[in-house]
Amino acid sequence: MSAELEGAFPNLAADGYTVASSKTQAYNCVAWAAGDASRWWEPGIYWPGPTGDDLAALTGLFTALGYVPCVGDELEAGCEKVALYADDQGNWTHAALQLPDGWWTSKLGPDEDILHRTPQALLGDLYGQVREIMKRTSPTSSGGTI
Amino acid sequence: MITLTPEQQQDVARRFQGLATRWIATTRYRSNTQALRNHPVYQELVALGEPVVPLILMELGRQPRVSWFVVLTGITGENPVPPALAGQVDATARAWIDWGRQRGYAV
Repeated sequence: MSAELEGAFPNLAADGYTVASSKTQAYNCVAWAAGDASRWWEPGIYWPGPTGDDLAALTGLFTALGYVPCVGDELEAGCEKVALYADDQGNWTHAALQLPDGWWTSKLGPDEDILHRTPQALLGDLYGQVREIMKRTSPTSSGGTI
Repeated sequence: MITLTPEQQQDVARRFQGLATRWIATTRYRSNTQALRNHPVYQELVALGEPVVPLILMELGRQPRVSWFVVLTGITGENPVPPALAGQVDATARAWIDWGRQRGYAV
């Protein structure tokens, strides 16, 4: 548990979470959700999708990775889901990946990875709101790619 | 390269250290640093201009931070990172430091 994290994300403690890694600049949330822990994925740095700071750039990236929009964030057998966040200005802020057990994994920018029970754990001033849930067929029958 | 008097160098370094602390705090937990180009701290850093480039490069040498890349590009208009290394943070930091040395910065 981390007082700093809980200060930055006011819903986190009530939602339930675990710190799952030490801090590293090597990769960020988008890379982590895409299954790449070797690069920082951001337009202008590395971004294999339509460029831009807005949510369309982030949804376009995950579309290129085989995801399609869906309605709910509940666990679906045979699917993996990502929750995509944006702030009030429309800039994308974060991506979280659902794990086969229904929890979500998030890399918090240049800081640590956490596991959290729901996407709502990270709502607030920093990441804004969840603006899109997308899903794709799990690459493996057992679920996640990480 | 702009030449500053020792007093001017000290003033730039002092202003930079204050802004650097605020920039690191601002970019904590954030993955979309490019979207912060309208942030006041970013604007102040970029406004300091070329004299802070060697200070940023020294920061990168101590600890690579992605949040400095957007500031360096904002000041210099450059991106010295080969496409094959895109996204690799340590390699990107080294590319910027090499770029600085080639231009005569003491880093």
